[in-house]
Amino acid sequence: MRSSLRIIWLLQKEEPLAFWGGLFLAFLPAAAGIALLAVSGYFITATAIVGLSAGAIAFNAASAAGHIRFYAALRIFGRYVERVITHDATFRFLANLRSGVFRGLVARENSSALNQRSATALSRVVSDVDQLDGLFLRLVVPLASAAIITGLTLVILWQYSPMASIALGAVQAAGLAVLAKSAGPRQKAQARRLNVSRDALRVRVSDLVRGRRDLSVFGGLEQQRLAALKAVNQLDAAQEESELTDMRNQAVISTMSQVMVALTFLFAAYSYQQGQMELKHIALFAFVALALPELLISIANSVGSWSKMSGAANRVRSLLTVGECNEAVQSARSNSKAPQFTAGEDVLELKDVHFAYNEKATAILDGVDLALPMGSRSVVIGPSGAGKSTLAAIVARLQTPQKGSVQIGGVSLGELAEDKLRATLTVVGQRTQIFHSTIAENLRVAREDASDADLWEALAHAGLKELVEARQEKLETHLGEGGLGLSGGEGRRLALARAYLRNPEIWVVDELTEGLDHATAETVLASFRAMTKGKTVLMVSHRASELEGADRVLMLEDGKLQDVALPLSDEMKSRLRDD
Amino acid sequence: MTEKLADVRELSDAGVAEASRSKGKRARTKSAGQVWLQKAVEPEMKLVKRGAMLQGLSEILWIPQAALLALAIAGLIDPHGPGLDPFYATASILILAAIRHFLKVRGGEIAVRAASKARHRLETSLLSNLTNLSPATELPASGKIASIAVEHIQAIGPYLGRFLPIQARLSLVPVVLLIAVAYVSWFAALCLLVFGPLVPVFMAIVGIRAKKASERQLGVLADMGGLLLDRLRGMETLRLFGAVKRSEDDIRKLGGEFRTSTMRVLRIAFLSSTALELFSAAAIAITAIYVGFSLLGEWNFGAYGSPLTLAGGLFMLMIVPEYFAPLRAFAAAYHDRAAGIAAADHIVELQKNLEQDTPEDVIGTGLDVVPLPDTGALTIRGLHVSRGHRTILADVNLSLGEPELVVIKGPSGTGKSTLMDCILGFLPSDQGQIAYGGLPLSSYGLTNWQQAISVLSQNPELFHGTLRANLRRADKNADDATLTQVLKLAAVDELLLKVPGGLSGQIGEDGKGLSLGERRRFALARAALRKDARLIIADEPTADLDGATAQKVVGALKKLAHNKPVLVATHDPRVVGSADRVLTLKDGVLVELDQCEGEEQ
Repeated sequence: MRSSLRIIWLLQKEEPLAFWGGLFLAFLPAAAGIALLAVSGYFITATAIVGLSAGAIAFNAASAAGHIRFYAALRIFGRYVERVITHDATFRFLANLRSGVFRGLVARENSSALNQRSATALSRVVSDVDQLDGLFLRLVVPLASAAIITGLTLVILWQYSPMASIALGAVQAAGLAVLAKSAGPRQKAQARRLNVSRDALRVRVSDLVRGRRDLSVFGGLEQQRLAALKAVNQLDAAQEESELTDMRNQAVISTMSQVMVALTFLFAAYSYQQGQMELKHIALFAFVALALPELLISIANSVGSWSKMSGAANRVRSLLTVGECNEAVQSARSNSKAPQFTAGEDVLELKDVHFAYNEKATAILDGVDLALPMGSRSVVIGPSGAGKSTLAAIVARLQTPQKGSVQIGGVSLGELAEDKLRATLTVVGQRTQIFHSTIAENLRVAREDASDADLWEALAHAGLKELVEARQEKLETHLGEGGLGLSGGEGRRLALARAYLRNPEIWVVDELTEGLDHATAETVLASFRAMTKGKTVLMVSHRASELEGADRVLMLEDGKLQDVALPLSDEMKSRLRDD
Repeated sequence: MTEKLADVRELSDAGVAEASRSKGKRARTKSAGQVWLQKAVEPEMKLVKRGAMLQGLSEILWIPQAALLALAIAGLIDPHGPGLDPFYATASILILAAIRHFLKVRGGEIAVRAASKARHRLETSLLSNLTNLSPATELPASGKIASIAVEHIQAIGPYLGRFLPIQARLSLVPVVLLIAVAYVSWFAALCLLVFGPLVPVFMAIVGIRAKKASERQLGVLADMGGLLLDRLRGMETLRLFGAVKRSEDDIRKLGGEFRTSTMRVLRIAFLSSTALELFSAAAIAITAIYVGFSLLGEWNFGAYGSPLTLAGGLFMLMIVPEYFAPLRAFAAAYHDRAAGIAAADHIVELQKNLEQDTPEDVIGTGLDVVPLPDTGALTIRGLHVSRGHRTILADVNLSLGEPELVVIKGPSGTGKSTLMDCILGFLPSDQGQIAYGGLPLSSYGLTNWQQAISVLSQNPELFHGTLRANLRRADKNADDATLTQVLKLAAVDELLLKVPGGLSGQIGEDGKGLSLGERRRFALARAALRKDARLIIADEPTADLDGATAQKVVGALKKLAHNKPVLVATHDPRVVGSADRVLTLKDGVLVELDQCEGEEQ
């Protein structure tokens, strides 16, 4: 609830004109709809009375007919304008919200392997934003206009017959109460059940599909099918329950409107018989009662999705907050000193660094010290899972150590401004992402203002120039699905070309040739060595070939980093992959 | 009660247009999904129609309610004309309201339950199809299939439970209401008769443009989803290059484009719902004015002989909004139809994949299954397999019985995996025979045979759950001591420390939280847990492992080979070096290399 209000408040702040204007414009046609029916009923009754008394009373029929036409027109065109305005503002707001959510996601996501979310989970966060359009359009707008119109109607009708107007108000309030109940905790639990069983089914089915080879050998296929079937049963039950609730809600509202018509008429008739009300207003009451529940019906349609929206609002708000916090941290850092590099001194220094993925897990890094002099080339080796990649992530500030200090060029990593850090240090790793866009855009991720000549130079250094030149669209060739597929080695080269565009002082390289065959690995390494001449390099590796040309080899084992004597002993060599 | 069900997502309104437009050529334009969908929901159609009839009846009962109310009002105003006591009228209306409520809920329940039943049947049959499929069949990505099982089949629910009943009512309710109005005045009925069908016609004109615009909008929507996922996957890269801000701008910009194109669609959709509004409001206004001037005595036409009464006028005015209500409901529910058909298209596509081959072709599921002997030799004679026009295995002969480590080497693409699939019974052979203990595999039954083999595949699948549950897939009754022992054997016991909770610790879907090397070794532990396995098969067990770890894996395989035959496909020289026997696949024929020849290569 609070999150939803917060998001509505943000919308109001960003789009005040459309927000308030939209509410006002929503009110007009809704009121006109009621007035149209009410005036029509009144008009008929009045004409009947006039007809009965054979013209004895003067009655301006033309003016009443004019009113009817006016309300009809107001209703039709008011609604069109209102919808265009409110929808436009909402989508504009959502576009901003989406980028805010992205900012929050980036800030929150650390590269901890255990916490890594799958793409599906990420995409759910993305669809959360799209759900929020209903918050303003389908809840706030109809609720506000329902409240205002009900209030106004009651005030106006009070003058004719207090009793009938109380009956009207009471039934309308009862309708709202029914709707409010259907947004209550039970429905929230229902929505949660629906989500849980949906996720369970998704996981079970994809396990079944991906694991069908292993499952049929290990005999779990039938078991897995039954597990999925259980999820299906739960999902169907939850879905059926929620559809039934929606259906019953709508039935209740429509029955309520009939009750409202009947009771309002009864009380109006009673007022008339008591002599408290004029005859010609009776039809007015009946028709207002007929038209008023329309407002509730439009709310009844969206109240079922309230639980979904409010869940989405919670998640979105927490991401927005993370994004804002991160922004604050970034701006506090923005005035940091620039790192200073002088020949012969250490450019990167780690002291007593401790790291564990969580409190319960054993420490991956348990007091690591490391100093890299300017222009040195160091390689960290160690068994798989020893924390080599974690070390690289800490240096790149993708992970924060629980204890210890990291300094780059004399500035503490915690205080270093983001742009200065990224200009100083670059990571090339196995996880480099190739974006679904052109080669030029993929490269300009590293430097936005790079000229085409710069890009070609980087491609040449990375050994990709020929490949790109052979393509008809050259730099505008699309990569990824439906475009040019890059092999593992070519992807690694593209990552190198990106890093080259940055031309950083410190290169951190995580398993540069992982997964590449021997010949490809050799050529990629050759490009890399040429590119990083004179720079400070920290490599993480378990392949012997990557060790060539290193000044220093360190072994990471049991959370400690230790120098290894060069040249490597045979025992050491046997622990590396020899290709 | 105008504006009933006016869902703001009125993209759907434009849908009405499409429906009426394509009505004439529907037979020709039906997509495969549409045909399938119709057949798939066939068993529930009767129930849906029954539900729709009940709901339609409920809506028609508005006629007596309106008549009662009109008579009661008229009675008050003109005590000499026809009239009704206000109290009795109210009581009757309330009783009718209760009946209407009952009918409406009952009908709704029938329709919703029918939809649920259909959904459940489709999901269950999809699951059994997936289970019965040969594991070697190429399938779309698992995420895609999961989304078919979850989202797409679910989308059929609203189509069946909401859209179809409304469609069924559309041919009943307005007609009856029109007859009721005609009973009072033929002129008013004529107006409605003209306006009613005009709604779809006018919406059709708008709808043609709406369809084009909405296709474009769907394109932009897909682009935006793609961009976001792409950027999210590459988050780390973006951070490393300080390009996060720029991505935010990209996302905002595309969001702007999305807004523009969405608004283009919505404006048209709003226009079409404005048309509905226009006709509905115009019908009310015309009826009111017609009735008013008739009552004033200025207009004398439209009724039958005698002049129009007040009761008749009020009655008509109350019927008019309800006349348009089913049209609105139809328009609002139209996106359920579109979503249902789109989902059906996806399902049909998957179904084509599932129909390709069934495991019955691979190994017969004859009823007279022979129990597997505890020991025996696997013999392959003259095995020939081709896929499409390409021959993969030409004439493979192999005999495996003694405990030994047998390696099949050779570059990828030479048919190593195909051979393993054949041994596992995942793939049928064109010629030749695979036998165990002298009997062809088919005599043991597919499942029994497969469960007598332990496998370490190249991409071992770990499942969402605890380490213990993952291991116990191989042996349901294994105790923790045995589990720890096999983890040690596979040199992966450090996981017990690394994963919080040890054996009870959770690992994610797809073995998230473990490195590839750890996953492979963990799967090896799982394979080793199968103590009664007749044979162990491993596909590239050391790929992407560092020296020390690879050595451990080879050691574990070697240990396993003391008790039973272990067949390994690999090109890692370290594994080849430890083998008892080395074979290579050349042009689809298995050739035995003697040990030193193997070392040389």
